[in-house]
Amino acid sequence: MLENDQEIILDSTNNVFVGPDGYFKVVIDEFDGQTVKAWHVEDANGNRTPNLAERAKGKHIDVLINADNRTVWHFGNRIATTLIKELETAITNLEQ
Amino acid sequence: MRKRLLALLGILAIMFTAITPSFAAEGRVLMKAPAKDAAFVASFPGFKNMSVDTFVRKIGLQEGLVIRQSRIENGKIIIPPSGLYYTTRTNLAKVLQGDKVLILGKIYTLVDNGTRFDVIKDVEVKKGGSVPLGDGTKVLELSSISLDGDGFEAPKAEFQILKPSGNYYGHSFPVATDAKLINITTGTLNNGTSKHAGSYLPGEEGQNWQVEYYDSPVATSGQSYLVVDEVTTGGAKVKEFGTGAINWMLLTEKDPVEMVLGPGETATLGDYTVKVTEVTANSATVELIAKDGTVTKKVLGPVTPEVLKYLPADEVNRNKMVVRPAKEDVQVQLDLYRTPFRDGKVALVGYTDLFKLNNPDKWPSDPRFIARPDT
Repeated sequence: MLENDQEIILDSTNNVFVGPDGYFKVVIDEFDGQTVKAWHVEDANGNRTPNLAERAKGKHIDVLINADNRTVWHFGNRIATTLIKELETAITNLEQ
Repeated sequence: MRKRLLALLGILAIMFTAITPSFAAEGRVLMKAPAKDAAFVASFPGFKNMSVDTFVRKIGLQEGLVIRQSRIENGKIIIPPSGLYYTTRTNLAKVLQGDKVLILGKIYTLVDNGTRFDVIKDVEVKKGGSVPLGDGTKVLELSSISLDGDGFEAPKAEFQILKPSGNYYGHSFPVATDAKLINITTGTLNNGTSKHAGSYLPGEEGQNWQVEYYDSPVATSGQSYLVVDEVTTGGAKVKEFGTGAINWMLLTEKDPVEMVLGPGETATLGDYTVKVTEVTANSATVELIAKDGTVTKKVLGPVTPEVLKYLPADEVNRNKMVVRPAKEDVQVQLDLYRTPFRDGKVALVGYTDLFKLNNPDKWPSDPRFIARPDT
């Protein structure tokens, strides 16, 4: 694993953190000082994740990306049922 | 003069101590999990999954990203040290076999590594508590104590290794010592219970509810082992626990150079010349000649059935199969897994442009990041 040595501080002005060797970026799109309303991760080719603020309701920017990676999946597995329920609720809301 | 020297040494020691914690566990969010309401992205083009061929098999490689323990404070979004990590997994990557690792989209060969074995003894751990292992970036956690599932009180403890990533090692260590359970380490069950195959009903000649509960104060997984003195409903006394860790890795992005050489023959390996001076049925004498004429000479082997049994794990015998100059920028090894000796010649695999990563170490091309071989 490659981990950040120093604390990372982001806000509306300093809104981009570039990952190791520029392999990915963490980008804060909308932040009012208390809630992160929109943020995403971007790869070196410009591919972007959707807005990642929804699950935590903007309280933090914890994230898990790529379920095929076992480290990620061990965490994902702990919340899998919750994720399925959230998906079911989202589908139900869309159908209404 | 002596006092001045001692004072100077003292200052140096303090400076060293002040510099070292940059990599240490203290103050970092190692061994922490992301929030339960973390954003989850099942797949994303930026993090690859692939399969590659090695000398002996196919292996899968997968990248990922985790942010944990982030918070909003005083109008800022804070990710603490070690809170953001790129993770890459290779199923059971081994050295000598040409196994690969995927790092930031590039394929590297795991050329060699060094390991250590961490042992702790005579420690009491409360339920939910833990004890540090090795350099303190991992712990042995007493994750749970459960009573026997059949309803009587016989506490069973389950230990797990919590890793820097916040993940548990894949194997847990279940142990129990209660007198109501038969200690199978005494040999019980080695030959089964003498029952015949079939179904048994309760009774003295059948299913015996008084004695037929088994457990062990010892749990193992490969080289790792746990021995407990006592398990109670509140905790456990660990008699001894041992587990391995990686101390360093040698990696290269360059493809291997394959050579089949007889006595007196040479090949080029980067800035070095590889010369074989002798080949026997199970060994070869190899010289690595640098541009300045410096020669590193070593007999590689002998390759015997006894030695092969424990390779590539056995680091002492593994070192007999490889040669590196003092600079450790190249390595030549016996092509151990693909017929190393044939027709009076030896098959060798060479690697150039090696770089070494200690545990932990700065990532060479971006020192804002710390590399840890553990996941």
